[in-house]
Amino acid sequence: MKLPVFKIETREQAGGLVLALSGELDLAGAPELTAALNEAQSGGRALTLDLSELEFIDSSGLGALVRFNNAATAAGYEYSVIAGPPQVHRAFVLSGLDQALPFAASSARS
Amino acid sequence: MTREPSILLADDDDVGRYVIATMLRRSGFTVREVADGLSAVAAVLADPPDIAVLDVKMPGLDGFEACRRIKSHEDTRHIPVLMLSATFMETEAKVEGLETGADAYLTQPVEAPVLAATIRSMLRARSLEAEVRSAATEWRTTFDAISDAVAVLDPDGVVVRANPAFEAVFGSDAVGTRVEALEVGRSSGELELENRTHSVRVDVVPGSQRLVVTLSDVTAARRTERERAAALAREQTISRTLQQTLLPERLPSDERLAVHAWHLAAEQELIVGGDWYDVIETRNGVWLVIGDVAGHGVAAAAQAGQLRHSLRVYAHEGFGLAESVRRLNELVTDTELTDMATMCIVAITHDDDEVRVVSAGHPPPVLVPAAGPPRLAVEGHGVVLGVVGASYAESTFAFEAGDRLMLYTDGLVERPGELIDDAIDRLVTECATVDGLEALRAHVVERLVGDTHPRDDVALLLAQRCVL
Repeated sequence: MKLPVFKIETREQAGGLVLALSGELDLAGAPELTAALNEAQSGGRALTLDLSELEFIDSSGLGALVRFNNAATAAGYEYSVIAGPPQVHRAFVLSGLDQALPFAASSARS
Repeated sequence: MTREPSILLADDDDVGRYVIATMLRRSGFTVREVADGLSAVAAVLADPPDIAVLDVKMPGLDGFEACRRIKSHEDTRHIPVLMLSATFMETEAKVEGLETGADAYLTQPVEAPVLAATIRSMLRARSLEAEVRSAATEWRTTFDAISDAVAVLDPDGVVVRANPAFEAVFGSDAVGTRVEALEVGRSSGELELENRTHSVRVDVVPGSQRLVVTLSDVTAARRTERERAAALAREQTISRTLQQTLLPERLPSDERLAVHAWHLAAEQELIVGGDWYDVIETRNGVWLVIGDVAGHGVAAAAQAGQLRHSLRVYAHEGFGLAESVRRLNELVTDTELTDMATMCIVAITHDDDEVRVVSAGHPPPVLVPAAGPPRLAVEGHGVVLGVVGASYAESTFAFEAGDRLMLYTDGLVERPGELIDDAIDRLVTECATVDGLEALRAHVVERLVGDTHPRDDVALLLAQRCVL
């Protein structure tokens, strides 16, 4: 059985960078995520944030994504997000972040 | 150990000695030869061999006496002795030989393989002994080096053995006595001695009735724990105090609109949430406000206070609902208040059944109509406060005489292992069965929170438009 420890896997894909998140993202994992996102942005390459293996996200996790989105928007840095499974994506829908974050069109679920 | 085992061989008969020495050398041993008992004892003392082979019958000091001397000297008693005698010697002599401390006894003529095998067997036994001796020394050294106080007690509680740390606590004469304080410590698991706290651990020695008692000094750890608990309690008090200031002292209920609010603090010590509610009186009605800052502790409570008071200012300056929320969002993103927040405002006017609502990522209010089943008051979700450039839109719904409205924070509907939508569905269903405001609040809290300690704060704000 896979333990729901939060993990970030970095992959190369079609000239861009994919950060694939898995496990449970909460207060404990948020700083690691913030660091990984900032590093990806400073590298300046296309970024896809893949939430499809994420099992849980709380408000700290959402907060980390919101702060990154604010910074990326201000810097004109474009990235996209692949939605997580229903229970994870529901947190984005309820907080209205499904409309505010750049979810890839094909991943829109609710 | 690749060195050949060394043997001291003593025999006064030159031929016999030559035969035995040759057998031994061929079997791979190093042999030193002497011709009498006195020389044997002297040679063993001067340069202890791995084993001594003594002929019984020698002039002057015979084999028995030589063996006795070797076995009685502190430095040589561990050296195994093999006695050799002629066939005619009787059992009695053999017994005497063994009683002088000899480790083995062979009668002549002895065959080479028997002699070699006997000696190898004696060497193996000796090396086992040496291992046991060295293990005992190691354990004793370890025992003495442990900084925890350790003692071995017999079944009556008498100290059989104690390490220096134990003697430092209970006195150097502790061995052989019963230490009363230990009896207390053994039952409670902890012992206070001269202002120091020791945790007491008791292990039974397997296969014996003896006990090993270990005392660890945990004074520093306990002090740290107390200080941490005190710091936690202080932060909690500050947060709770701050949170109290977030909640209005009185609610503006009147004959047109009844209002009831309730707040349940989370049980977890560190988690003081940023939940708040407010009822703001406007020219022709009220704004029902509920909100939740995502973080916890003093910072979240302070941020909630800032949002609450800013909204009051915007309302009094005449800004609309959506514009007020947009300004609150700017406050959050511009001033780096850092934590996201959700909130929902319902604007009720006294002379119009239509009410306006704006949600910033907050769980939707429940509308409980006077007639008909309860339902969620709004469908859409505006985005949480904290997203740069977010805008907010008002929507409207009918809120008629006798209708009730329930605003709440997510602590009410976030249960471990349950989808929040399922909990919200249950909440809506439960609202169908109870009249009034306070009774409805008590009912839904009982059904959704029950006896479980909520992991997060729960705030509820209910209103009913009265039938005039």
